[in-house]
Amino acid sequence: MADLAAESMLRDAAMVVGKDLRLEWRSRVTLSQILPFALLVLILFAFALDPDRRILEEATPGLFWLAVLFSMLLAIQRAYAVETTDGVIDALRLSDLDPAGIFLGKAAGIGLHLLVLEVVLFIGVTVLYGATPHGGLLVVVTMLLATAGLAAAGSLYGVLAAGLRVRDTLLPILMLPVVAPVLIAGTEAFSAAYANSSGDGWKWCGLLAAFSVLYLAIGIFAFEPLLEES
Amino acid sequence: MTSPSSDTGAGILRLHPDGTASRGSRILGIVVLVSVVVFLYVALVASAPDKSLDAQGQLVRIMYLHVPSAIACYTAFFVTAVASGMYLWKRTMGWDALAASSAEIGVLFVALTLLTGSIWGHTTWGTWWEWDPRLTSTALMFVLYLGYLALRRAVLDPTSRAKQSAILGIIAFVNVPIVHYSVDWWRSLHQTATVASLDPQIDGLRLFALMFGMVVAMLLYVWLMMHRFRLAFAEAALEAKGLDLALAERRAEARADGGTVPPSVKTEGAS
Amino acid sequence: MGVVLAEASAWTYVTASYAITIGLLGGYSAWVIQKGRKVGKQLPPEDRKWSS
Repeated sequence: MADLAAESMLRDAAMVVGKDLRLEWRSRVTLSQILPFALLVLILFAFALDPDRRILEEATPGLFWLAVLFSMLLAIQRAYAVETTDGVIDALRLSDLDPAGIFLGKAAGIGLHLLVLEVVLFIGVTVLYGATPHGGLLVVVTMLLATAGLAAAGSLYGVLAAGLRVRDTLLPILMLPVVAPVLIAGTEAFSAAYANSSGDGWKWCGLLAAFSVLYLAIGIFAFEPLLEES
Repeated sequence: MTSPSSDTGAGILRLHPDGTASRGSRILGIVVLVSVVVFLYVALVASAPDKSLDAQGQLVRIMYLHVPSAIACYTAFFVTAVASGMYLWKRTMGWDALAASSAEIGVLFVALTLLTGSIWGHTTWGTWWEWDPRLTSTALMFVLYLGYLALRRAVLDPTSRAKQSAILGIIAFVNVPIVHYSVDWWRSLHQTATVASLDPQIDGLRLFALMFGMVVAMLLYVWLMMHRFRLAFAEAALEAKGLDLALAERRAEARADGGTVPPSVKTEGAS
Repeated sequence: MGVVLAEASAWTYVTASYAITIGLLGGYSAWVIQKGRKVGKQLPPEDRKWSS
């Protein structure tokens, strides 16, 4: 019985992700708006910090994850904006879809968008800040784990804010304190990777993994009541 | 104490007829007031300044405010989390009022924790802020619960608001240890010179001052909760009454106009 | 003399801390009490279940 429930949950999740990806493919919002925004953030950091004193290169791990966090806010807003227009969210509520499945689907969608952003941002910091990446595996694993956590938390808080008129100002203040540990861990892991001293970095990945698992679990349970109220 | 209409007490126990006071809260309030006076005496006069090796001198007196404020705020947020859970279980609005009131008071105590910590830090570090792990986590917690209060303001429908805040109230508290752990670990890696700790090593009358400060803070928390909870409860009752009144008026109007009475429409939430 | 000056500035900080604490807590208490009376006035007595 539990297998059947899990299967339908994953199937519903796949349906939701598919829908969101198709939407993105047709509207290209992430590609044409959020991606440029992410690159813009990298450029603004260079204006804010002195590019000649190698501060950018040293701060790359942190700046990278900051850019990811800011772009994440847009990605989450977008993920739920597509639902709140034209009463689509009512359709979602009334559909037979398993709410946990909707949560996972939304999270997967946000996660995939974030991964694309991160790849581009990674190229961005390598080119713009001159940071030479070492520790490839650690970098990849960090990105995957951090993204999972950000996407899970984002999917949860996104639905909470989705139905509110003040969602654009409320979401950042709700999300950013929550994902501060991801920022810390991601930065530390990247620093370890860049400095080629991977040891500590893997421990931070452990924290990221725990964070992701926690928020995936919370989301699976808490999504349904939040969806009802949005 | 034997007035016919309402037993509002006499002298110091005389309660304002419209207010949120009761015999119990008045007695507690007097206890709090007396304790505060005693505390101030012990903290500022009776206890000697810290003359140990890494002496903080008079500045240790700020700790008598900082630590109790921290204790009070953690207690407050814990109560919010528990009350949120109880609301989700029992679905009675009293739990929601409890959670909200505790969060509000908690935010006040966090602000005090940050302010006293910063002032103390300025004297020791020379700057108004160093990224001390406890203070940093506390700052994040401050914003976290400001978000909780912001969510409550954003949702108009009481039931919806209660449900959403309850979930947030629990998740927010779950975040507290995660944030603490991460920030602690992070700072332990980057600590440069010895940054004087916010944990004073004290004993004797100074320790008593600290402990008593915690007791006073908790008593004050309870007293504030009694009033704040009743206020929240009263506001909710007023809101419900106002809604009933408005609906009744509308129906009366409709009947008077000779038209049909519209079916009850639930007021829309913000969207 | 230096010690006395240091002590003097320390007391300024201590006083400031206590003043801020008492101010914020006192102010909040006053606000809650006042608001409570204002709202309580609009509510019929039977809804106020705490005044014995």
